[in-house]
Amino acid sequence: MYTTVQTTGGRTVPPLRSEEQVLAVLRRSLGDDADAHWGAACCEVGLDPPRAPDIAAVVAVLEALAGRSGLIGIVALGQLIRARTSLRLSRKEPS
Amino acid sequence: MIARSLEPNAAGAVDAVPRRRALEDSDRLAAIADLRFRDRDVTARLTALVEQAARAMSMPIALCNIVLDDAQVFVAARGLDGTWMAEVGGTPVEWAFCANVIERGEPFVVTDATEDPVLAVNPLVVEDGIRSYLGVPLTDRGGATVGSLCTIDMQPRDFDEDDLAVLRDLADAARRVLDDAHGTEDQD
Repeated sequence: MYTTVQTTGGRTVPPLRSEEQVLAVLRRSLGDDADAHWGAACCEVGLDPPRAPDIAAVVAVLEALAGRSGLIGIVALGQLIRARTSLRLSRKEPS
Repeated sequence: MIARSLEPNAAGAVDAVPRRRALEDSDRLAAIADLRFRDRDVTARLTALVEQAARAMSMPIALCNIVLDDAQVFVAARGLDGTWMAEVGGTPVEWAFCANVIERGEPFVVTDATEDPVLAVNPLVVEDGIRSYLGVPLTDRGGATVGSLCTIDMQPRDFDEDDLAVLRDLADAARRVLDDAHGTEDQD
């Protein structure tokens, strides 16, 4: 039920999703429109070609999409929260 | 005292799929997409309601959550300051106690999460220390269950009918806040 990975610090975090995995989730709700939204958001955040090659880029694109109204906004927001959870809990706390 | 609704996830795997379907229901997600739950005036009014919930029930944490298919979003929060959850603004849906409210369509009561075989291994219990929870459905004007109003404690705790009534009243108030925002949108 709890799909997780362990950080080196022992904290449980959800696994980070790649661009393809995030896009697959977006397509589930939005069909082919997901790719158009994704490409437009990539351009909006300065990714040329319009692909998100690493997690920082994926988060940047999700942040752009999560600010939009409608279904794309909430689906992206859900993915953004998952990514932020993983990144935040993987970060070593200051002692 | 009201009975905890989590009798070892009594229905178990048999109804896990229909429950998951409730979270992923496209009509429910479309209803959420129509809500203006991120508008500043809406979050301010909902924050006042969760503060009222925490005070009325003497609970350290109270939340108004929108539950998506993959994550829960904290629309208004009291008692999370300085935590990773406040920083992130939500959690993955599979960790969310509030997902049970959506899946069941009714209040969800946890008197001691460590006594439930499923919740006892939830990272929010194991690593963040959540022990007790009471959540009620938050519906939109069309009747879709879009989220939950809930209170949380780091100690085991029993809840009574008065607690449930308080939270239900505040969830009604939260629905009216969301309805008002809808009205504003319609006039645009």
